[in-house]
Amino acid sequence: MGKIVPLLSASSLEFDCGDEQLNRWFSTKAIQSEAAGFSRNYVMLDGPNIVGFYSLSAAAVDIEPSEFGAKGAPKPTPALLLGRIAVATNYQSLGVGKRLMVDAIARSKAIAKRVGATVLLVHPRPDVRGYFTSNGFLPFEGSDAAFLTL
Amino acid sequence: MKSEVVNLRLTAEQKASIDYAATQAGISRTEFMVLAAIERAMDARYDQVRFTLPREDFDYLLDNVSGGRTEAQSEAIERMNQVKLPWEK
Repeated sequence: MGKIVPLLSASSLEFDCGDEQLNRWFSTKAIQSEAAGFSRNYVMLDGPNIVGFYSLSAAAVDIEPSEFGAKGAPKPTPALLLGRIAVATNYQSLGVGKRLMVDAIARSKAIAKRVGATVLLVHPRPDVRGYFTSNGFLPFEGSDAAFLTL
Repeated sequence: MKSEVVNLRLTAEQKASIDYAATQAGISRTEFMVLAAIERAMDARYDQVRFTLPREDFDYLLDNVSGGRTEAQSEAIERMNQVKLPWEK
């Protein structure tokens, strides 16, 4: 119980996190996204049930075009994105989200050892950004995104 | 939750297409438009892989990358690491 595996190892796609858009994406677009290489998705399982999932993609952070200089960093600067993360309604408030984040961070660090990437980005709705910033992510002023150095 | 009124202009063709689809789906025009727009907005948010930041945010990121995570960040991550799920206790 609680094992985190690639989406394609899951035997069903049944998942309800209480957020209509995330549910719909998971049931209708996650597999296509995997097939196209747009994201890699990882699910936590309880038997055949999906307890939660998260997705990772390559990303880039750039500075606004009007700005010069980037302290020697390439523009754009390579990064990774924790695009979606969600926990099934029956398993919420148990620490599953934190476990998924820890797994996503560890996986991102491992990726960043092999492929250049400076930070892990998240782009949550403003009403849930506090969940990320209270768990180590730093907020940007000019967008809803937040980041964690890898 | 409190809601606000948004006015927008549509051509007759656009309105007819939306109304037809809403009727087929068995929901109101408003419900249809809100659902469609929200789905598009959330996908755009979560699928965004290129972030263009103002100078302050970009520098903030680079400073943290070169200086490493702050103590508070490391502690927050460590606290998450310590979390035991109910079936592990």
